[in-house]
Amino acid sequence: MNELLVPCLMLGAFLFCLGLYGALTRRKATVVLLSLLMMLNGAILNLVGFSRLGPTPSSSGQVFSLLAILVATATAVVGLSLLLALFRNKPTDDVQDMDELKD
Amino acid sequence: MWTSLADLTKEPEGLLFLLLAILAAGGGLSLLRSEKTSRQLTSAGVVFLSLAGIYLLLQAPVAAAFQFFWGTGAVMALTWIALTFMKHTQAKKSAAPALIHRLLAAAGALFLFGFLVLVIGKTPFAKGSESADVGTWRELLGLLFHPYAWAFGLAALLLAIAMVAAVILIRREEGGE
Repeated sequence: MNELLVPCLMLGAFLFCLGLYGALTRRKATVVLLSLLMMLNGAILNLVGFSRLGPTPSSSGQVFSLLAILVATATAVVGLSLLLALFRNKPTDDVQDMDELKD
Repeated sequence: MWTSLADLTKEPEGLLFLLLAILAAGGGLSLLRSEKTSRQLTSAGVVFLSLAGIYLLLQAPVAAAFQFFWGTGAVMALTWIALTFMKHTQAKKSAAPALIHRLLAAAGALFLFGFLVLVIGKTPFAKGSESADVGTWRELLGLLFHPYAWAFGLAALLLAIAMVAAVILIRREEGGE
C-alpha cells in the first residue's frame, strides 16, 4: 500500500501541469474552468495521498481535502454564474472576447 | 522511483491504481484535445470519477464520497445546466491561440512537471505505519467539529457567500432585461 505514494504524487503533478496548460491555452471559458478544477484536484490528491500513505498517517489531510473539494465546488458555482451573466451581455464563450473591463 | 512504479504491476491494488491513473490522465488529455462540449464534459467527469476511485482505493471513503457527490456530481450538473443556457445563443466558435503562445505554455507546463518529478524522485519518503482508524467518518467528524471547527465554519461561510453571489448574479441580469 505504501508503494502507492510516489505514483499518487506523480499523478497529482501530472494533473496539475495538464490543468495549467489547459487554463493557459484554451479559449473556451468552460474548459478553462474545468482545467482550473483539474489543477485543484491534483493538489487534493496529494493531501489524501499523504494523509493515508505518508510517514505519519493522519486524518488532518483528509479534513483539508474535504474542505478543498467544497471550495472547488464554490469556485465552480461562482465561475459558472459569472459566465452566464457575461454570456447574457455578450453571447460568446471565448475568454479573449471577455474584455469589457479594459474600456 | 522507477522500481517503485514497476512494482505497481505486481499487486492487484497497484494494477487497479494504474488503471484509474491512466483513466484520469487520459480524461485530462481528452478534455484538452476534444472540441465537442459533450465530449469535454464527459472527459472531465472521467477525471473526477477516477480520482474518487483512487481515494476509495487509498481507503479514504469520506474523501471519495465527497469527490463523487460534490467534486463530480455537483460540478458536472452545474456545468451542464450552464451550457444548456448558453447553447441557444452560441454565436461563434473559439479560435485556437497563436502557436508561440501554445508552445510557451507547453514548455512552462513541461518544465514544471519535470521539476516536480525530479523533486519527488529525489525525496526519500519514509514508510508510514498503516492505521485502520485514519479517515473514518467518526474521526473526521471529530476533527471537523473540534480542532478544525474554524476551517469548517470558514468553508460553510464561503459556500453560503458563493450561493448568494450566484443567485444575485443571475437575478440581476433577469431584472435588467
